[in-house]
Amino acid sequence: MYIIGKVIKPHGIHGELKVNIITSYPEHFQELEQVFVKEESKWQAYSIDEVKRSDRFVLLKLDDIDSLEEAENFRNHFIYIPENELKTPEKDEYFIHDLIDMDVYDENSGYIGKIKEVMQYTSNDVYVIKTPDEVDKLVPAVKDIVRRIDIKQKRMTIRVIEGLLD
Amino acid sequence: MARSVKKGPYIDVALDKKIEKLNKDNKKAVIKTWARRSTIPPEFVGHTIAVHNGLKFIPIYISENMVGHKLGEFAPSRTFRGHGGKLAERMSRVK
Repeated sequence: MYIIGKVIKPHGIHGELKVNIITSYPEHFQELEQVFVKEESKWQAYSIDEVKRSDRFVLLKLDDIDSLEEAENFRNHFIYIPENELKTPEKDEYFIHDLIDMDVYDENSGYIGKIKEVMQYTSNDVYVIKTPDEVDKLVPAVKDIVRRIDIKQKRMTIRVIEGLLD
Repeated sequence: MARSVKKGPYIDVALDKKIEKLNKDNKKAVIKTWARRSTIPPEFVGHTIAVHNGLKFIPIYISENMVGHKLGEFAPSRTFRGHGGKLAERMSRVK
């Protein structure tokens, strides 16, 4: 299961939920028929009745949730979708959860470390690579440097240019 | 108040020299800098500059639409890591 949003609070008196968008594809909310919520370590499916979107939030109306009191139970809960509902990445796009723990190799000198984190900046994403001696190295996600990514084998090949791993 | 047009943009001299040398040698290298206040001139396009954010050097790839902005704008010094963590349906793009 993967997270696409987090309920901030109920909205109005008819059971709508104000949801913070936690996905790279906010339009995904309009395409889904049902979402999942974890309730006491069990997955509960809810059909989507209506979706209204603003730039940062979604107003989500779930079937059978018709009052403020019922909506209040969803406060601070994450909204999940199953793996088969995930969007298909476009060319040169990768899910962050696929990149985490990926082995990174240099074209020439071999193994560098594992990706620990992906930091997202306005200019480019940055991969935080943890080397075997527990040092963090930052590598920009640009084509000049990232040469190949194999999701199945969990392997990334990069070209280390001067000053990159200093 | 905006900077006087008469003075022209402020570009860090040391950084400018390093980039000029790379351009002359037609080489690519990551240059570390603390000069967050430096404006990005067109000569920087295509280079990767590691801009200090107060804690570490963030490697920033300079593209055309960043010209005229300051380097510091692209390496925020306060980090919000967002909700959802590893399980979020988030995408990373190789530019």
